[in-house]
Amino acid sequence: MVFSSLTFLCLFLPLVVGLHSLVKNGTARNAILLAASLLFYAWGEPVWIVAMLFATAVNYVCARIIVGAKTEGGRKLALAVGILISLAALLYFKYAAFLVNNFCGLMGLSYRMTQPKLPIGISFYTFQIITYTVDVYRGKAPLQKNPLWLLLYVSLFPQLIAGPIVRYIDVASAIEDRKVTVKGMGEGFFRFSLGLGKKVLLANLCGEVLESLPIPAQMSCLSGWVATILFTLQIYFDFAGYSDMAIGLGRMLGFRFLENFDAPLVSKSVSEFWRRWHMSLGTFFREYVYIPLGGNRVSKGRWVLNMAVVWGLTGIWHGANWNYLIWGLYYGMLLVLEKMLLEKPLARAPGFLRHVLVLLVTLVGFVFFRNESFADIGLQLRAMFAPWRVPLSDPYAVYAVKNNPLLLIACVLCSLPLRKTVEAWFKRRREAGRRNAFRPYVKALVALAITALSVMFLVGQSFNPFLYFRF
Amino acid sequence: MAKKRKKKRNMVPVAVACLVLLLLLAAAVYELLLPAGPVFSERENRILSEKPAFSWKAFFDGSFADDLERYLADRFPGRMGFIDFTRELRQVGSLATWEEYSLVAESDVADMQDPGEVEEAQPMVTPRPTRTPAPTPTATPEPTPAPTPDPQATLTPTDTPEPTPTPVPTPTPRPTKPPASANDFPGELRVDLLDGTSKRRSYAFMRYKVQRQCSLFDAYASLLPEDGIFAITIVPNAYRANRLLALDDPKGMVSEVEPFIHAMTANNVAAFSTADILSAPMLAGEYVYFRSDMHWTPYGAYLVVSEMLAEAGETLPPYDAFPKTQEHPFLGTLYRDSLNKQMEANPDTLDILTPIRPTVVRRYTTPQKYDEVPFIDDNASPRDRYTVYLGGPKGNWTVVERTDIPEESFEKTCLVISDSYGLCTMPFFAQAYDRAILYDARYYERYVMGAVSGLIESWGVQDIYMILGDAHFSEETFCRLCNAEF
Repeated sequence: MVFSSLTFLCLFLPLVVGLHSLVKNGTARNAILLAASLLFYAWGEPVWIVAMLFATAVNYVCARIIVGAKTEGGRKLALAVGILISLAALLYFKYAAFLVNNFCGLMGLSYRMTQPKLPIGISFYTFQIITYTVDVYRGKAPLQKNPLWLLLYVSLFPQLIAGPIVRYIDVASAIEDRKVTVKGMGEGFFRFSLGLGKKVLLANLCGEVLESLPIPAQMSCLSGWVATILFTLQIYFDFAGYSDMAIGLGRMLGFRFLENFDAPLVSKSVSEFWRRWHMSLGTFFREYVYIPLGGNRVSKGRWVLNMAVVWGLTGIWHGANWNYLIWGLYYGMLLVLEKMLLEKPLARAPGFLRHVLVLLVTLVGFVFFRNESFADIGLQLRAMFAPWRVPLSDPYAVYAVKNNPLLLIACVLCSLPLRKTVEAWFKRRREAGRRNAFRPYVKALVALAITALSVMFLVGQSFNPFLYFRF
Repeated sequence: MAKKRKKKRNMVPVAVACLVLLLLLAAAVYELLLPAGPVFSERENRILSEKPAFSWKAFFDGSFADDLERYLADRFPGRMGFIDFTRELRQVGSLATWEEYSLVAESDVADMQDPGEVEEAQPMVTPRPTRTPAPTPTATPEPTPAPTPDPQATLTPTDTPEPTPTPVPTPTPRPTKPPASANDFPGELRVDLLDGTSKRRSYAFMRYKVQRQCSLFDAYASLLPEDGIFAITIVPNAYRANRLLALDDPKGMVSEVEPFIHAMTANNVAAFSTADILSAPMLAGEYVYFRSDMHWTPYGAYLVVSEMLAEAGETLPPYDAFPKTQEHPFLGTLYRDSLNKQMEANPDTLDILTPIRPTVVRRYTTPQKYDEVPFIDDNASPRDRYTVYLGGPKGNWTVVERTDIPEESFEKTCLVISDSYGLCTMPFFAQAYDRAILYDARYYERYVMGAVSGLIESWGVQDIYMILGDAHFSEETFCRLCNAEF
């Protein structure tokens, strides 16, 4: 089930939030949430629940062994088994076909492995369960003795499908005991509605316009840029929207998830961009890969290698294809360059110029992300940067821009840190001794308007005229 | 007091949240309590999704989840109002005008030319000399007993007929097409009528797009031998075509795009109008289009392919001469997408034809490696039985070869560039040519197979036929792929 479906909005969400709020007993609340999360996951694809149950069971056992083991060797072995088995499932479902087919291609073999159907959310829950086992090993997280509550952590529906990647230590106490407050409910719903709007009103519509643009081989310079900008906006609002919805839902249910996106498109350096974009993934790779590899407290050569590993993995985590790997390595390279060569010159440059430069490299990065074939990457980059080789514009791109000015303006405004700015404005007023009496009304009105509009758009998608008269 | 007021104010967002959630739940409960039974939407001319019945099987295969989502959307209270509102909202601030970007101007509806006039003004296909017709195979060839040699008979030199050298027909040069420019064709190019409810759904072809595609056809045609042809036809989708019967329009289907292509391309490119060819049979009630599937019937395909083959000097045996089985009931993709009860009550019949002469089908996954696949794939998806032909539109390069003569004797090879509309044409091409190759650009892997132009030369292709659905042609998607893979 996805958040932006009518089944979720009209049935699942009101029933689960209502039931969860009415029940006061912590165990009963967890039971409701667990049952709801399993139903949420099983909805439409029940078979793959087995993979999630298996990963949870393995890590539950491994964590118990880690805590109970008398020797360091035993603890390490249990840790390794937990991590390897979790990763093996991810490797099989997500990467096996890619690896096998590339290997066969290299060897000149004609065998082609069919891509297995990917269990929903496997990339997210695999990393989450790994954080649990590793943190138990490090002594940072308490052992969860109840396997059902561990399963609740893994399957918790707000963050199950598209993150953020919630570390066990961040929600361990809330699983044991959490409070559902009136304030939390109101704020959670407000945040959820913002996310729903980003997904349905911005990301989906950007996607629709993007569909109408030419493929890379036929792109003019204008359509190359418009397509790249629209794709960047689409992926940002899609992902940030899901994260907002997850954070809002968590808040409504008494959890506090960490932020995942913080207006990354206003960044002034690549490292700042990655501090603002998919923060939970960055945290995971920093805590569980980069630092164990030695981080930056190693020789320069080793540090560059560490960066390559981490960013290669970051790239390939997004999908099993070469373009994702290149996308990750592209950012790794930019970060190395920024750290080693460009940090000082950039610090002296005007903020606007830095912002434009970061936006430019981000857009180029999303050309790698969007196109799975090298030929298409090359063609789209050629359209963008070699206008003398392609027509300057084409009717599709002009039409896309002329027909959707409101959408584009809304996207630009919403990619700015508007929420933070408004919050800061309210704070300044409060500090100045002025009342913010209208604030709750504004929030309520915004939430109401966005949710209503989103539902209207979702309902409207079913309009399917069937122009048929032969009977 | 102030604290109380603040607390009250802080309740507002929660109250709104509760209100919204309750309203959404109420809408869903209302929908679920609606009496079961079909509801017809006049605006959409379809039966809206019906309440799904729960079963564990449907739950586990995911169909219950899909059906419920469709039902909730289709029967949402106030749905049409929401649809109109969101449509209007999306147009707010638009700087694009209808005249600037629409495919068909509103005024064109009344001004549509009579098809007769169109033909008179621009003869669609320039007559070209026909090649020596291939011998027509008989439907069920009776084995002719070999003459029994008479042991008494002696062969004298005079009995032996003097071998007369077969005159090699010299190809008559093709008449040159009159020079034409795009300006010779007034108005928009279009293949179909506007539909009754929404002008935007009509298929029309923007001039510059068609011109762009013409250069692709010329590129293909340039690879052919001197007497080879590149023949193209654009096939209107069944649901657009079938509307004509209901509208009882005496004009039938009108298409201006083929004369345009014909005029704008090289001398050995010929464009055939499926709209024109199938119009009369349709109006006469012949079964040339399915009702429940978007494709033409194999009989409709036969009528068009016959004309295309005649252009290359080939003739086809009668339709009934092809070995045939029938599948009934057949409910195709249009039914699958609409679950229209009227269709279910009045299903189609699918003719499953094979070439008359024995053939083998090879699907190449690399230039060297192939799998033999049946001409008729009985394991084709039960959801789309139209794909029984060659197992559906897939694979890099699908070759149908006759097996009754050795490969060394093959003289005629054709390439059929097509989307799914070409599938049911393959029995006819395989009958007319020693070797007929099907290439669907959507499934072609250039990095494995190399450029298509190279394959056309290495396989000795003499004629190329392009058969495209109107949607693929209009959106250029298919031709863009052909261009990239060329």
